[in-house]
Amino acid sequence: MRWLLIHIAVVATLVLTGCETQVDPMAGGGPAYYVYGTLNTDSLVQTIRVEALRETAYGPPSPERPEVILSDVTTGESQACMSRPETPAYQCPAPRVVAGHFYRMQIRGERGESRVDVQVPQVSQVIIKDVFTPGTSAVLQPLQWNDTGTRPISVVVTYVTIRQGHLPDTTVVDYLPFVRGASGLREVTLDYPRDLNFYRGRVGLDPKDMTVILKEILFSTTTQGSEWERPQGTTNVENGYGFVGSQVGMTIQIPIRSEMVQRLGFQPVQ
Amino acid sequence: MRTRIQVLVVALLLVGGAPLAFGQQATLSGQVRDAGSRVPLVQASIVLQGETGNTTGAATDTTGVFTFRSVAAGRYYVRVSHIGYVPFTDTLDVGAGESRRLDVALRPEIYEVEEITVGADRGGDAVLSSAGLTRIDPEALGRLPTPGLSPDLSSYLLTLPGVFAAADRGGQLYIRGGTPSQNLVLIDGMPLYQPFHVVGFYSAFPADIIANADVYAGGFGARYGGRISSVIDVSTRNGNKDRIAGSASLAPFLTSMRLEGPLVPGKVSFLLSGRESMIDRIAPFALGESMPFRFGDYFGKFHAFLTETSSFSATAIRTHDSGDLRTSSSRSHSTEWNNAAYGLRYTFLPTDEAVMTQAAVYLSHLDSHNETTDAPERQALVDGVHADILFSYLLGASRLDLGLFARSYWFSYDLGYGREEDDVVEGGGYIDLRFQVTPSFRIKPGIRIHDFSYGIGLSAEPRLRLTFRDGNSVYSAAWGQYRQQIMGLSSPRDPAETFTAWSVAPRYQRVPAATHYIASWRGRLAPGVDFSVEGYYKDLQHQAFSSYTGEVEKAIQTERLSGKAQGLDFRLELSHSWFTGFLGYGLASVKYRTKDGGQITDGYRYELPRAPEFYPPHDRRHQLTALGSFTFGAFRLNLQWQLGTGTPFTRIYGFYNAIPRGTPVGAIEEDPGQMVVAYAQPYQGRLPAYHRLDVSVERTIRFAGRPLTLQAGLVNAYGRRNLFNYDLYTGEHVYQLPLIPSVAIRFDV
Repeated sequence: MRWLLIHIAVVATLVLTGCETQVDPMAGGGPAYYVYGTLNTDSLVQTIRVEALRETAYGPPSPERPEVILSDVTTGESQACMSRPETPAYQCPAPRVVAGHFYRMQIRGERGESRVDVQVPQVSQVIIKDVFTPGTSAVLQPLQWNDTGTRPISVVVTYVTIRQGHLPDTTVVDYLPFVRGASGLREVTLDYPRDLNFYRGRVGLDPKDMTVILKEILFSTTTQGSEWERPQGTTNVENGYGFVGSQVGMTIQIPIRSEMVQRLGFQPVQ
Repeated sequence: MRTRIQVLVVALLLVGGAPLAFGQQATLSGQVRDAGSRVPLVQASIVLQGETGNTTGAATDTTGVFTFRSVAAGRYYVRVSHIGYVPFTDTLDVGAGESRRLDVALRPEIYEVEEITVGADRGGDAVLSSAGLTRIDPEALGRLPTPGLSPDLSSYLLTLPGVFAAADRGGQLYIRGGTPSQNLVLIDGMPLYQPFHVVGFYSAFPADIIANADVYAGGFGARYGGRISSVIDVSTRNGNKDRIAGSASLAPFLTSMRLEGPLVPGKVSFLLSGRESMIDRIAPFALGESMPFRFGDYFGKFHAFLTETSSFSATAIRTHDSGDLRTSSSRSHSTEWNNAAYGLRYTFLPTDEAVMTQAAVYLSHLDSHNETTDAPERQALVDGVHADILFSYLLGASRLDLGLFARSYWFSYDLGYGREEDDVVEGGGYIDLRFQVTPSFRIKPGIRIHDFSYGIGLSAEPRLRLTFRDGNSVYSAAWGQYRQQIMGLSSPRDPAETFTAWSVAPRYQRVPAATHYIASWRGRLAPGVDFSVEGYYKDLQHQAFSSYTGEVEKAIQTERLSGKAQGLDFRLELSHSWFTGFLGYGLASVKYRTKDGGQITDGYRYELPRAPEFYPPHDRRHQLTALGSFTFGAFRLNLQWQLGTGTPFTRIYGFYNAIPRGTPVGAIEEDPGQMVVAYAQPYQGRLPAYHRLDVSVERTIRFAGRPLTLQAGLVNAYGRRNLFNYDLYTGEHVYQLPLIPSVAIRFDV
């Protein structure tokens, strides 16, 4: 009985005095860095945000500046990205990102390593059909492209350069509608305005004070990589958080023919 | 020992008493009353069974009096019974020529008593149990060192293995794997949605108004439904029909008053009770720190015997709670809730048929409000109308209950994103059969037909309970299927979360369901030493589990999970003339798993830690409770020590500032982003263990001929710093109740 009481007393003392009342909320290991950015074929320099996870909720971003390497897996070339002072951003200079190439971004630092793999999408294959019909008042320009595996976003642009005597050229950018659909060969119709007065009205000048020259008509798309299909709230950063996307810009010049120019009321290009 | 005594008594009777008794008949008389109201009971049955098997009987007259005029000397087994009351049994030695008096107070059996007691007499037992069931009498509540002399059901519930609160404030009770909104809490049949006060010692149920409380931690019968975890069924007593009585107590935590008495002597009575907290006003002076909790409860009951065979009661209860469950020095957590319930009940007991009819209608209401520093204000309201009718057929020792019920609920809530409203109607019936196969074996099958208009439609929920008695041992088992259509949604991660938005399960989805399996053994190891062990397993399906997103604002997303709760409960009860004690240990495990290979998410912006299986935050693995009540002369010392191992919580990897997808490249450098918590695997961490010792000393003296009780006590006597909340954002620890000295005084008239 005496030993039993002694044991009970010892256990009770240990329980009463030895139990921890503090809680450590931090889990060991785990994701290392937050990464955000977009690899863009149109950009000479890729800007990426990289932030080490911090243990306090509020306050400035972590001062840690991990090493960030951007590698073109397709060619085997790598480049070190440079930390921007006073910000959590990094800049990865040339060479320019190439459509269709695989890229890997590695972030190494005190917390470990995070990694992102991205495949920049291929350029859309665009087929232009010349269906301009002389004698009509409108210009219809059907286009087709193959966007399998990519996602063009809704941008179709025409450029018209207007020369106003001694004034510098003015560029009018016109966004035309684009309807999304399933992947595959698809078609869109560019519906140009019927006559020159439309452009004169956009500039707001009296027609007699200006000379308008149709310089070029461009069709432009931006195609995003498949990683953009991930739902919001998910990451493609391995052992980290955030999102790194990719996009390819593409522009095609639509041939300008003399009957089209005259029909629209422009001066022929000399 | 008992056999020896019996042999000795018989020998003495044979040797010494028998010659004298021969030819000298004794007289036995007495009165049978209602234990609560003290009103005499008419037509109560008294049966005397001698040792030779000879049986004789009598019934009480209109004053509750009975008389046996020619009783041979000897030992008799006495049974006093009355419909609607718990039978009284005892062993009585009657001497030759003796004029013996036996006064009996029967406790109302508002619902069936399902337990079989161990031993030949109950002695001072105030707690009885069988598979999943614990029946609690008011005497048991008085043995706990509750601060203030207003014993309460809540304090007792928290001593039961498998029952715990997330903290000593907040008023949320978890029972054997069930969440607070899966517990059905009834007072005289009226549901209360959030009956536990903001300070965990107290509930809407002071001992002063309780006749008894049946706590089903599982395996409840077909009478109960609409919840899948447990039932706490509190029956209140009627007011005194003989005289005015009352009590008043004054204590730092709570001040209480009770008044009862006859409106028509012997027939109509009232009972009023009111309690109001004082701690928010006294703590700054007495403790030097703020305890901003305010709560109270008010109860009233009117009871009338309309005729000799029928009665009527009207009951009303209101509670209020409010406070700031501050989770850190800079983050307030203002909460408020109010319960109200009203009920009418009519009972008819014909003298010529063994059928009891009971009809009742209830209204229940809860409104709650919650506001925290960094979350939108939330409000919720639920109103329920319940109608029940019950027919009880007494078939000898067996009994058949047939019941019909209808429920209508109306919900309104605003979680900070606009007000939502909904309503739902339920209805159905049940059959409960208690079949006494042999004197020692009872089987109780039942089935509940419940129409869930939103979920699965008509549901058949079978129930079964078996009880077998073998000498000093009782074996029992219970099984049942349960479904629940109305749900309370709250955030399980936050220990300070008291806000529950009641709503109906999503339309056309399976409603939360559970199957219970319970087996228990209870035995008397020695006189005054009872031991029981009980194992349980609950199969949980379609559980609604709320989780936070990773954003600072507390947006909630709800997952549907399955899971299981299982465990073993041990109880050792000691009873001697100067000491009563209780030692309880519960080993439990609650595990949730995602449905169909799905994954639980616990964050928002980016891919989140996921876990196909996890232990939810109410998985308390070990729980130990030791209670002791010692009597030293005129003093009584009450001790209570509780230990609970830590519950799961979600650790974090850290914080970062996220910027929305699609942010232009030019803004990447300058955009401050939004702070996001990077959570680790859900609920993989464990909070520190909880333990606390409460002590009180009482002495009752006579003052003006009436009992006056003085109490001094300590809550958290050794000042254990039990964690209440860890604030992720500030790193601050907030602790539960500190060491609190208290004094109290109570006067009974």
